[in-house]
Amino acid sequence: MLCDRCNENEAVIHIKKTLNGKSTEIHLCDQCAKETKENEIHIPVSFQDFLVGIMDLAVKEIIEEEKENIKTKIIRCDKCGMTYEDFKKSGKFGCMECYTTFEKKLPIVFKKLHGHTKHNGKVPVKLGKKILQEEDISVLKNELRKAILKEEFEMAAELRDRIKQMQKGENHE
Amino acid sequence: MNDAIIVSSRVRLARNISKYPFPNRLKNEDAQQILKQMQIIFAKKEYNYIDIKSNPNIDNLVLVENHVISVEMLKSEIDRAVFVDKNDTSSIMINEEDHIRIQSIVRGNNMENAFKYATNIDDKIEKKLEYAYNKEYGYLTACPTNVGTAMRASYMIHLPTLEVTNQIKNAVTFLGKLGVTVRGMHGEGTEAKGSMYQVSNQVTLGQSETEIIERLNDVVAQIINQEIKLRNKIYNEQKLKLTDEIYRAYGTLTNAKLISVKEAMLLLSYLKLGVDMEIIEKTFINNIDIFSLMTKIQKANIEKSVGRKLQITERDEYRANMIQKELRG
Repeated sequence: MLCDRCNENEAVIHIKKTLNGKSTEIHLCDQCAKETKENEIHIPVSFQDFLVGIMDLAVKEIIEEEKENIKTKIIRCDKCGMTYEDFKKSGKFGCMECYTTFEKKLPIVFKKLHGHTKHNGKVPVKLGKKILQEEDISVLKNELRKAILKEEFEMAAELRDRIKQMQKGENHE
Repeated sequence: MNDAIIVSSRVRLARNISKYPFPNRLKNEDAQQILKQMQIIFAKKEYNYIDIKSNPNIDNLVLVENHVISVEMLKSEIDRAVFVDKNDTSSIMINEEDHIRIQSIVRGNNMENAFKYATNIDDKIEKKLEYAYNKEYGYLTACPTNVGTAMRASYMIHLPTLEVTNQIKNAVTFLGKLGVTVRGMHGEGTEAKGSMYQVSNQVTLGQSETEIIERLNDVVAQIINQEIKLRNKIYNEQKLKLTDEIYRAYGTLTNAKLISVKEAMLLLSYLKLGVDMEIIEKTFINNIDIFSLMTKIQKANIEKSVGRKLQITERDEYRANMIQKELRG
């Protein structure tokens, strides 16, 4: 490795400096090392260098933000290919997955149209069974937690068994 | 009286099949697949199957005028069909805005039965396939205005005195504020002909089916109350003028040689008012059902009964003849 200063002799002294999390290495030959006072090596860092660094960071942030914006603009439904822009234009969803894809935007839309954001009507018989079972399990789990807190262990064991049984039943279907 | 003012009660349920994209993003082969599945569910014994694409245009237009299918059904490009219950109470449109649109219409004030019929069909379909549904938003539909119950309950109501006294505009504004939509006889964008108005719920998310119907009933009851009050007022204060107006309508309807839809609808509306207020006896008009006649004199219905396309004057002549035959017997 050649000396960073004279670029002629073999470097024998290696100095590593870290400034603002940025490491710089400098390699000097014997001669050059002697000429720099007591090996005090100053790596010149100008105000402009600092500024550029900061700007870089800011630019990076802006780019990230822009990327994020572009991402929202082209949220695309995996199942039917509809984008949020398409939805806004046509006013129609392309498939049931769109409801998940555009999930974050929907409460505002629904609130405006219906004044509500949650279904409160009919539950289909077949699908409903599955949903109800899930709800029952979550209620039981809640009771189980309460029972444990109250140290009612007999009750807790009973609840635990019931939950297990219900989950088994669910898997069988 | 309610039964006379409320001409019909209708429930429409929108449903989609979880497996397929909604009709606006549906491939035609999937559309055909859905039609096949539905043909298995709705047997030929109970339902007539009408393929909209191959059905003659005139027949499709008759279906629209008779409220069996929507206008939107004619515009779509994918394969689509309608199943019509042989008892004539329900129809199921396939591949309209949603995969499945169940509709039940019952004459008079009978939302309960309309809802029951539509629900039975809904349950029958659900046994055979999986609906697009989630716990949060209920039945998932192509249009966000239908999500939730995906139910539209509507009454067809006859409001001639509210219209004649120019109070209908206030009534419509009032209804709008209460979450009720008012449209003309043939749905979205059509004007009210013969003082017939379709009044339906706007909100489908956040309320149960029963709540939706109850709310609609409350609002409609108020409107009907207004109409009845006005009828009584006119009867008490201007009976002679009212009777004269009704008999003049009868006179024109039974003697005109040419009559446009617009004029016929207006005069039939007066005639209906006369019968409902017992100013004219039903036997005097040959016991006919005026609302059915209002449908029969629409453009496509007339051309269908004649069997060919008609010029305007020809149509007006056929219409005049038809009305006379019906009224005089």
